[in-house]
Amino acid sequence: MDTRWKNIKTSPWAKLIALLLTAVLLFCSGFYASLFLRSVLLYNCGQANSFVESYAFHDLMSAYERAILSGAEQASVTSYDEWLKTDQGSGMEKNDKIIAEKINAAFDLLDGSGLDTFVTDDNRWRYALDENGDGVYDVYFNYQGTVISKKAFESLQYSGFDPEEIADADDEDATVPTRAAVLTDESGKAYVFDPAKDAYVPVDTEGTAATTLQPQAQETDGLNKQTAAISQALYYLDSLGGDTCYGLASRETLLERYTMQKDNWSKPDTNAPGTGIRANDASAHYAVFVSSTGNLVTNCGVTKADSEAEILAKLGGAYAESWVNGVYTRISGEQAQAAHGLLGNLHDALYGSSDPLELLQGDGIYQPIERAYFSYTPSNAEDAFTLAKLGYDDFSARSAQSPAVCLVLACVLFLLACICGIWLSVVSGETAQGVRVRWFDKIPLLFRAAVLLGISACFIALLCGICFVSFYAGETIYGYSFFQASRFLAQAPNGLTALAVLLAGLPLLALLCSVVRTVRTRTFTRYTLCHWVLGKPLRWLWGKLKKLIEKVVYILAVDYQKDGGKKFKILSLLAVAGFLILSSLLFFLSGLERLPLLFFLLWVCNGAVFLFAGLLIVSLDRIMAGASQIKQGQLDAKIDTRFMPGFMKQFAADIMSIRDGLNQAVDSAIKDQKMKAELITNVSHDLKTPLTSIVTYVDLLKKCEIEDEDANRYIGILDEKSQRLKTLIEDLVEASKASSGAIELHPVKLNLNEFAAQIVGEHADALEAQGMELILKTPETPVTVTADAQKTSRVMENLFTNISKYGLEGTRVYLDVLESEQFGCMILKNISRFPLDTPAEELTRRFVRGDSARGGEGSGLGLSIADDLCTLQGGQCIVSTDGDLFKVTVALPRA
Amino acid sequence: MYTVLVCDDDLAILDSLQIYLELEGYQVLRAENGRQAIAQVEAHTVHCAILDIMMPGLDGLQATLRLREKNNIPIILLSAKSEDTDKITGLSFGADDYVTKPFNPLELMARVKSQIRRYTALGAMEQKEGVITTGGLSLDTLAKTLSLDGEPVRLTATEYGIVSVLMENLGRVLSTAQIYEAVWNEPAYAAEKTVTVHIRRIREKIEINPKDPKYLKVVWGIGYKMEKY
Repeated sequence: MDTRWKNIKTSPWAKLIALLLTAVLLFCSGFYASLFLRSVLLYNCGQANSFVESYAFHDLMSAYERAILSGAEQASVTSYDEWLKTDQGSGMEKNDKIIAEKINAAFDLLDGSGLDTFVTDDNRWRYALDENGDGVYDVYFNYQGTVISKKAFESLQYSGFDPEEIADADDEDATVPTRAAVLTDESGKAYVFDPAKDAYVPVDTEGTAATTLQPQAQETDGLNKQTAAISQALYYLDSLGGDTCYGLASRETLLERYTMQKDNWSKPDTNAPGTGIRANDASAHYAVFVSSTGNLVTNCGVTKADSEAEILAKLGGAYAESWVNGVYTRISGEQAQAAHGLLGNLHDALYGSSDPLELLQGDGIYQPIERAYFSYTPSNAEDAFTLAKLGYDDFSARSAQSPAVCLVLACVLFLLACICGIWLSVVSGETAQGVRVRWFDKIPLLFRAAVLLGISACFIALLCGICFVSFYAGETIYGYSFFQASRFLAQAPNGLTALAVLLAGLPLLALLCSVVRTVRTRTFTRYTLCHWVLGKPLRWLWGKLKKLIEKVVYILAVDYQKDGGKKFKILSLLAVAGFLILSSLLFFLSGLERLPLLFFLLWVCNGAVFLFAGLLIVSLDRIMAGASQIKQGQLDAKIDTRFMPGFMKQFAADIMSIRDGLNQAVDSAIKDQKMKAELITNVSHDLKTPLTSIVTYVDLLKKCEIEDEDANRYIGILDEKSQRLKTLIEDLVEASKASSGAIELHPVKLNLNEFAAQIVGEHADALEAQGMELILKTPETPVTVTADAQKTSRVMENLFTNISKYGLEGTRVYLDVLESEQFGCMILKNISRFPLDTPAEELTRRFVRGDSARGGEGSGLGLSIADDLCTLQGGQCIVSTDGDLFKVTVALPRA
Repeated sequence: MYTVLVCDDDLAILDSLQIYLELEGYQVLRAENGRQAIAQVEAHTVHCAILDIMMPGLDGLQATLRLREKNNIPIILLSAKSEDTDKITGLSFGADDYVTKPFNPLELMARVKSQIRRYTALGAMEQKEGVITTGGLSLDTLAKTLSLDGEPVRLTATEYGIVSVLMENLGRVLSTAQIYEAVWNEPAYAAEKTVTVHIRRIREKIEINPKDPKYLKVVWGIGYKMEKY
């Protein structure tokens, strides 16, 4: 396994595969990121769940503003020239000219006035005028042309309108004039300035607002003529469109926008929905009541007399909304935010898009609207809505993945690419001979990084460019169009974006690999510019520092063997005392002087002590754990000495050396035991082999027909003694094994009742032959012990052999089975043939025999073996004598 | 005349074994190590082999293994190693019997005789109805007789009853109470001693060495069983 892993790590093929995999993953990640970006742009962060919510729909509805108001739908004209001949057309042309004059006049005035422009924090334009040419601004204008105070000019952040604030501003600076205009606050409620009350009052929602739209005479507000003209010009320009306050609309763009273009008067442009005049699309139905003229503009047969219900019925449609007296109502269709296109713009047409004076005089085609209705009905007719919907569906299909899925995929793939790349960086320097640096790594880090990061940055910039350009491609003179942006993005293929991501990522990967290689070979610092320049002095400094540290360590080293811990005690006391003095001093001073630095030092001091105490506790814990393991007999226990202070390391080493000593002792004990067992086996073999010859040849001698009486007697003695030697040797081997413990035990559950009966059966006949009667007494319930059956039977055999040797003829022998709390016992009692002059406790010793004369045939080992075997099994063999009564109790642990 | 192979590196023992065997009327082949023993078996017809275990060159256990590859003659291992584990090892290597040194010459001759009788009778013995056989021991339940290696064994009625119960349950351990109930046909009450004494006597009659029984074995604390061969 290890070698295979090593082979993989060092194989150039594996690295190549990893590199390719990383590249592919990166590319795919970039691809999905691009898809995500496109989806977000197209569907406005995924909120456009249907066509009517999309910006394509929104853009189309905006196109109806001019169309409806220009009355294009009423004329059954088919060309621009025809349309110009109609009332609406000629009015429009006239109106365009008036507006063009006004725009030119306004720009002329502003260009010649010395007005300076400023962009403020809220990205809107404001203006200031140096009337006297002395370099000091005398008048400050709002983007709407309203004259404001210097303070307001400098600090105003446009954030909706609050009448109270304006009133306060008036009190503070009396020179700030206010102009009559309708303003809306954040909730869309309209206010108008009432000079009689000298305050803004809410507009009457019953449609009377128009009558209060009285512009005030400029001179009476204390402004000079130039200021008033500038104010009016700015106000006029601002009224033409929202983008003027952002400084986006130049003279040319405004002229273009407010001049009816012949090009726009054509069949709907399928490639660019939202351009051109749309008034007769089969999918769109509308009815707009113009209050100033009393006209009704409709394409679905609504009459002035129709009630609201009838109007709605005639509109029909899957999606409809209405605007009545300033109140929007969504009648049916999608619950969405994006689709206020038409009615929102109509609202602008009412209040913002024209000169109020002209509006009032009915001069021009922009007319206030009383009520408006719009509905959208999906149809198969070849109109702009259908075309737009087709485009939308097409785009949806192409971006089948939802933005969320794309984002998740992009992230996951990127993560995988990172993992792959990190693996690559880790193994990049691996060779069969260990980690190696490449020639490239030897270039100073600064240059390496500069080149690779530079390449990467180029592509990152390209990526940003794609995003940026795509986003700004959505900017149109009518406002931001996501549709436009997404169409542009579609021209930058996903593959290109993905390639840019890949090319931006690969140099970074190369740099990472290079850095990892140098770190792993510990040459990171060597291949830096710093090292080139400062290498030598730094090494010298480090050498000095090392020596210093060694010196300190030497001073602090504690050696109990040398000084009995004197140094340790002194150092500990000094450390505790030093800490106490320093901390109390710091505490006192920091409390006294309230010096933050001292307080900080106090905490540093406490922190250091805390750290040191933690290290001590950890060290002590490890040593205690190790000692406890050793105590439990785990002689391979180790103590982790990382992070330990020096004297604790010494402590751990001492414990370890105790462990080693213990280990050696145990090892040699085990070795001794083994050697003993081996010795016994060998000795017994070497003794038995010659004995075998002796026994057999003596037997053969007996078979020879020897006449000599003496010879026969000698042979008899030889026979007897050789047999005795045989018994002695066997017993001796047995005894040495039993006493040295070199014996294998197989403990089982043993039923003593049955066992005793079997023992009795084995020996009853032999005893009876000697005139002894054997009586067995067992309890009713079986007594069970844990013992090795074979060895226990050997114990009993020895005891019975004893009895047959030393028992008095004509007596009874008793074998009782009993049980105590811990033991199951067999008690054997008999009457000795000889007086027992040896103390009972000595009888179990080796070679001690009841008959001190040693005349019998026993080896003197029987009781000793029995005792050893019982002890080995966790039991006891107790011999007691009472006169001639000889009693042996064999006690074995109960099961 | 039967041929017995004797193999021991101790010449004195080898000589004495030859004398005993020739006295018993066997033809004796000698070998001083395992290799010679194998060569002898391959060269001659051998009816029984006595092998020492600890020999220079090829030892007795290895020789047993080699012999068993081609031959099923009885093999008696003769060794100074007397541990139970040594015996078990020897028997599991394919030996038929295991005798420890110093051995009783009479016992060894009895074992040789028993092994040869069984080896030569093998195949000639026909399975008679009502006869239970284990090793050289066979019980004729119809004639109510027991024979050991073809020779009749004299048993009392009680002894016959115990033997027949044990033979009918070859290899199974029977407690003294079970044996008593089966033979005496009455519930056992403190009757263990009676049974065990009889068992001892039966063993005297059917075992070559009653202290190291081959057939009727004691399972300490549980009962007795007749070994199944």
